Amino acid sequence: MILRSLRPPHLREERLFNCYVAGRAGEPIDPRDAEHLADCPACARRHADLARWMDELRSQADADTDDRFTPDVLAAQQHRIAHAIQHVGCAARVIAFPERAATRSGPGVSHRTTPRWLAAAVAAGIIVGLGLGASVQWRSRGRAPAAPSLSDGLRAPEPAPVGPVATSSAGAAFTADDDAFLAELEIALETPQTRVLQPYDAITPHVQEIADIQR
Amino acid sequence: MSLEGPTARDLRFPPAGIVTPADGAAEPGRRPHPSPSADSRLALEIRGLVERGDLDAARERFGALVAIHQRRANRIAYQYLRDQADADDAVQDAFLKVFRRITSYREAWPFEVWFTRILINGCLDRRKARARRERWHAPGEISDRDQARLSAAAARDRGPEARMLAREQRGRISAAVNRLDGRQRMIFVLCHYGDCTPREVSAITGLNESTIRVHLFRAAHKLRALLGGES
Repeated sequence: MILRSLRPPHLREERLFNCYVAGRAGEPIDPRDAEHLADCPACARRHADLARWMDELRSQADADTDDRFTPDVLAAQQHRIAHAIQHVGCAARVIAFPERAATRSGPGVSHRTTPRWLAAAVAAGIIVGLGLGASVQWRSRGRAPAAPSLSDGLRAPEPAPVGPVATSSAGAAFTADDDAFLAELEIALETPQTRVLQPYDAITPHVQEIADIQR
Repeated sequence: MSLEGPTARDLRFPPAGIVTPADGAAEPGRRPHPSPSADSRLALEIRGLVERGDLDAARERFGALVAIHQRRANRIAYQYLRDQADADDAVQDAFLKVFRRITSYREAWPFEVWFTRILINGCLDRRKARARRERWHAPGEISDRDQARLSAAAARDRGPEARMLAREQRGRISAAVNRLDGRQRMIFVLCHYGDCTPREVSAITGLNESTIRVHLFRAAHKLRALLGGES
């Protein structure tokens, strides 16, 4: 009876957990805790239960990962890594300057390579083309029914609704550019100017929430 | 407006190769591992080869380094990202980054710590990108090809009842891990699935070792509460 009252109280959960972590990491357990575990069957049982539970979590994770990353998958991954590092450290390919052009133009010497009449002909062609284009457009506008103007906004065909892009699978058509754009968007949303709008955002249903409701 | 809770931004760890107070260089109480492990020696050898310009030999030796860490890296990435394709890409990117930056690797800390830091930063970026996608993009219909793939996977998975129950159990565990706070989840994955000691996680994350222990305990405690004390 006296011995029982002298025994220190049971180990708290945190200390018990520290014993488990130390044992797993191969570190020495606190001598007082180790002594207590040796003397107290109740704490030793709790410690064993905790260790069994934690080890079970780990073995489940191992099994889960091994199911997915089979030796074939790992081999394919190794192959891809080996392929990717083939190009690391290689100097960029330098495209040789065209030899003919380089030899023709000496330092400080400028040669006119195209005759003057050709430049004049090209300029005239562009002017004539622009003129013809403008006149054709003017004529067709005179004949065709009036195109909807901005003032006819109510009758004009409605533009496609701007909304979130539905993809065939999450992130299937998602590029790094998209991600960079969304990252900028997120940063912009946190600036002081937009912070005042956040309460409105909070009461606005988001795409994901709507999708979840529809599902 | 934060995507992963208030700690999401704080979670990013110092870039690999940059010495932080947690690296122990400035702290007399903490010291790196006494002798470099086999993988650290291999990394140093590869660094030497790259510095001498012998890239072919470096690439060949790098294959051995990949083989040592690949399984563990996939386990960490998959348990953290919960998506096989994402985990696959994250691991591949991490190894590629390691090879690119191998000249900045220092023997002060084990290669495992250096590599895990790179991997974890990549995983964090991917998780953030995924959260952005989920926030701004509506999920579309599953294409016929995806549907066929899912059906094939389901058919392949159909097995004895025990196997199904195990799968269900794993799903429950992963859902519980996913419900942990960002920092707790990271520390739990690194310690329990990544075989890192609290000291190594401290070196990876730059957090104090006692903080790591507290987070680890809280994570395990919460998991036990979520899973009902049994896995």
